[in-house]
Amino acid sequence: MNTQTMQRTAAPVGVAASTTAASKIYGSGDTRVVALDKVDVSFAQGQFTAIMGPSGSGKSTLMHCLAGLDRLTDGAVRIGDVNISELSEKDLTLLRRNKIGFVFQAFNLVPTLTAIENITLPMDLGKTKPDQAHLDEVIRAVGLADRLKHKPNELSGGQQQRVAVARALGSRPDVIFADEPTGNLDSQTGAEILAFMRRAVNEFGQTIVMVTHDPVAASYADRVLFLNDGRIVNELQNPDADAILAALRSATLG
Amino acid sequence: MLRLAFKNLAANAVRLALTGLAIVLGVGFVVSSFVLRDGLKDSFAGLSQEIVQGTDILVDTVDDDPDLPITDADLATVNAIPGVRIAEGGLTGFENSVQPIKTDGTTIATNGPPQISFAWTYDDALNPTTIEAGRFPSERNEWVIDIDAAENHGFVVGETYQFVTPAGNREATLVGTFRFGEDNTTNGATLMGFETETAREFFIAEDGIWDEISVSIDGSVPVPEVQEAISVALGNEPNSIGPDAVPNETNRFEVLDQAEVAAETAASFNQGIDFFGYVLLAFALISLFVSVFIIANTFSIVIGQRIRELGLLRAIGATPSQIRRSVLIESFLIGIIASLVGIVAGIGLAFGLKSVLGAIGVPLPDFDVILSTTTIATALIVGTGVTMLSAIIPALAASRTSPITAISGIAEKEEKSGRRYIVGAVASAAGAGLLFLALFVLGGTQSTLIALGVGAGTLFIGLTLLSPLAAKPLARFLGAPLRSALGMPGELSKENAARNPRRTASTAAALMIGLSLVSGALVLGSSIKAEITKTFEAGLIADYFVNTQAFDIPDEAIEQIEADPAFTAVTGVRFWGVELENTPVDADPGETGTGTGVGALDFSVADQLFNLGVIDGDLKDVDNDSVALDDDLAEKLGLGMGDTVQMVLDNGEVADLEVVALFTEAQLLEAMLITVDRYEQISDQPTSDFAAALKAPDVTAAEADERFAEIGASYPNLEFQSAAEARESFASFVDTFTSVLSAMLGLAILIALVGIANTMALSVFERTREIGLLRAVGMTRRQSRTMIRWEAAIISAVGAILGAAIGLGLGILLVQAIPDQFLSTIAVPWLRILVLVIIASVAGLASAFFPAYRASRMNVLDAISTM
Ligand SMILES: Nc1ncnc2c1ncn2[C@@H]1O[C@H](COP(=O)(O)OP(=O)(O)O)[C@@H](O)[C@H]1O
Ligand SMILES: [Mg+2]
Repeated sequence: MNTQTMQRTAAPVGVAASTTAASKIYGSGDTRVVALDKVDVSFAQGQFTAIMGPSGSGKSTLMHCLAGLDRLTDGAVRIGDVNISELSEKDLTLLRRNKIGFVFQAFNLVPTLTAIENITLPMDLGKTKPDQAHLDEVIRAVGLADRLKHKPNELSGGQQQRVAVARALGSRPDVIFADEPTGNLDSQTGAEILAFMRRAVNEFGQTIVMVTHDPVAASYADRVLFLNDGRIVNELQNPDADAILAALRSATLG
Repeated sequence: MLRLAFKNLAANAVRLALTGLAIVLGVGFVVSSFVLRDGLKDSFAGLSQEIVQGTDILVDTVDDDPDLPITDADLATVNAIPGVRIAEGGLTGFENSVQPIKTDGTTIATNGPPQISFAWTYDDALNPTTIEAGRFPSERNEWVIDIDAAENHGFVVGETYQFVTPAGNREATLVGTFRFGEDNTTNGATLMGFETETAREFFIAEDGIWDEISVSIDGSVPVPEVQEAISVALGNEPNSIGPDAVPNETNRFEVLDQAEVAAETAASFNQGIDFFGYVLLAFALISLFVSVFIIANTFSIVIGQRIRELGLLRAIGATPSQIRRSVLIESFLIGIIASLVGIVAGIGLAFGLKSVLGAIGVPLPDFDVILSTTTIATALIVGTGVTMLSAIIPALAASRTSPITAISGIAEKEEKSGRRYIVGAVASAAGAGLLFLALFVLGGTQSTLIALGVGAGTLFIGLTLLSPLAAKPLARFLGAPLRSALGMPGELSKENAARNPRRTASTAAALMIGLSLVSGALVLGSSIKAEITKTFEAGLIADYFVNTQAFDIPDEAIEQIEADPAFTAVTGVRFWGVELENTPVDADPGETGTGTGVGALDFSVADQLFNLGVIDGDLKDVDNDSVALDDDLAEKLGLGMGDTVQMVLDNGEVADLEVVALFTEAQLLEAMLITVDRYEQISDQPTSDFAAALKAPDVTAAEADERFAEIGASYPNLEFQSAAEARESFASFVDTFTSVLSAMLGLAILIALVGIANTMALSVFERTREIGLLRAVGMTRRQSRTMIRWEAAIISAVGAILGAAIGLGLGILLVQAIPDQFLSTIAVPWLRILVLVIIASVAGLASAFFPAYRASRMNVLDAISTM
């Protein structure tokens, strides 16, 4: 731990998202699967968290429930101080639109819209005016100024992901959820995206929760959570890739 | 491959149901036209059988020729033949010509089943009816009516009723009611029997003349021998009885046995039913044609969505022809299943059609469901054939799938568009050429109709192939206002409608065709209306127009108007057709003579009532030895003032008539005008088709109406209309005609809407991930519904606008093709066409209800989990 990371962890004040005793159970009887087993976790504002774990450990389920895309079987999810388990479908949609940003592994963009239209899509859906200064800053940061009028199929995979990140940042959401955002990219392009997400946390105080398989990707985070069988089994602060790899190995072995 | 085809069917149940729906509707309409036709024929065949029940032999003039009447002498001859028990002469009035006035002062409506009046047949065996109450009419001015009509219209035995007859206002006492056949199956018609001389007076039938002779035999001589004896005794050549006998100069009479009469009676009904059946079939074929586009479109979308699977099959070794076969077998199975459902739907549709027609003023009698093997076979062959035909192009495309698409999941490249547009342009040009040929060059009815049908079909196929060119810009243009009106969902609707121009165009094609036919009909209808207005405004000087929906106007009624001092000039106008010996100047070699419509009226007042645009001579000069001619007809016949028209009279003689006036405006009357006296030598119907009257200058409209009301009390089936009202009522016929036409074409439009729903459902399925993404980043359910619905609205509007434009063109072409003497005005009903386009677009919006619902209910998680 160096001083820089100390500052980073010291800065946050509130909780951007949290769960209490979050359980998600699929099926029943023979086919019963406990995807999340009474998970208690919270994500501090302005922090970059990575979630890791073997396939089937519940990473995506946790993220979907946090993001209001899926509902828990039991327990509660809070975004800020809103208990989203109690929200109606409509309010949940509005919450996603206004308070949450998304970056998926692929197919992040609406093919009929240009890059800029994709970036402002959540705001356009809500007919709210984007904060132009912030938007300009985000666009400059992602380095897409000359590609704004292009349709997704005219952009490379890395550019598409940058547009996706820009969209997630554009509306200044309380928290961004990213599900393996670099999974489809070569390592260099992936590194660019990750560096950019890191900057968003540093410069805009953005809260990001990212699911990843890749220890190098996870090393960009302030905090890494390890999931296994629907439970958080380990947690590291500001680890480097080697530490993560070691922790992963021990988690799988143990 | 068969197994694969079956598996695909099972896996895509919903999509296939949607494909099938278009076939079901198309086949259903075809089946309904057959079911309706066969049912009606059966119902009338029963009627025909009942009519001739007790008649062993019937004597009729060949082709009901009025020039060679059956006389009392002929009747006596027949009665004297050995084996004849009794022969009776029969007289029947024209349909709706004799109308009893009900207690409420009105006559029975004439838009329903006909009112048939006849002279009573006195022999029990020959008479197909049975007296139920009272007695048969035996004395002068006595009549009887069938039990149902008596009940429905409130006629009471013992009462005396007024009648409107061709002879004028008459009265007769109702002396009984009767039942026709077993259960008075009249199919709704009103049957009225009159004492013989009364009938003769009411029908204005000449003394000693009969329409036909019914014969009952005594059984001592076999029917064929009696038949032959009658035939020869009446002057026919020997062996000229039976259906194969050729009528000629000497064979004046048809002598038919019972079966032949029944067949002939049925045939006369069937003629009408067949015509009706063909009209329905024509519309059914239009619907079927439209469904082909829908089915083809659905197949190509579905196959596009299965491209990865097809690529996989290719990768593991399926040959292109195996793929092709699998798609064709699949279409065959869908075709069979949908056709079977279509047959059932068709039966339902037949009854639905009956009630729709009833509601718009064309009531049909009850009928039984007759599902012939021909109907079933036709339905199966047509339904399956059309489906497989629609699948051919998608099947070819599928077989060209390369194995690599299994991995990439993207069809390599859309097939080159260039060829499509070339084919489209060629087909459009060929179709337009055929239409032009049909409308302006070809003469024969048959060849014109075929060229019209094939030409229109080819044109539509060509335009559909070309339409993607217009689809994208049009969709963008139409969708442009949606962004500000609906926000982002509207923008997405627009972009989605424009993203795949070929799909949008193919989907819109069906609506385009339906709408082009309707708007073409609207252009034709409004042009005819405009022509009517023009004709009336320019041609009618008279203040009043006397008209009837029933039969004709009796002279008595016109005489009453004439006698009334409130009216200064009055004439009845009679129309008929005649043969002239004059040969047109441009006639084919060997062709002699010509036919023309002829009108008769009172020339002393003609120019006070009508503006005929007389260019030479004077209408007042027309007498029994002269005519007035339309200038076009005169030119056609090469005649001028002072030349002679040779008109063939009823008795075969030729009258020489001098041309003493030429006029230009023939529309309101006829191209040749003669005196009423001359007219009586070409027609035995001394009644007028309409009458025109001019009121005295000091008589007010209210006073004139009062006078008419008084006269009308004796003639409740006459309509006394002001010139404007008459114009309106003629125009309203056109409206009825266009409504019926539009209603029939409505089915094609309905199928088109099914097609739009279909495409939208498939698009929603295809865009699962995209919609999931939109929902994830904050699109509400309502917004997703809006997005889908408005996309459908844009696609519909594209089809509707293209269709309206094509329809305008076709309509104008059609109006141009109709000779100017009938139709010289082009009137485009812009507002109605605009309303039609809007209705079609709104209907398209509504048709996407289900796909939109599906999109909004999509599980976001499932959608994005497939990423
Ligand atoms: N829709 C579902 N129905 C049944 N089981 C599911 C469903 N989604 C996930 N699961 C199960 O829940 C567990 C966690 O899945 P997931 O959250 O996708 O894991 P990860 O993202 O870590 O690979 C797995 O055992 C998976 O099989
Ligand atoms: Mg996962």
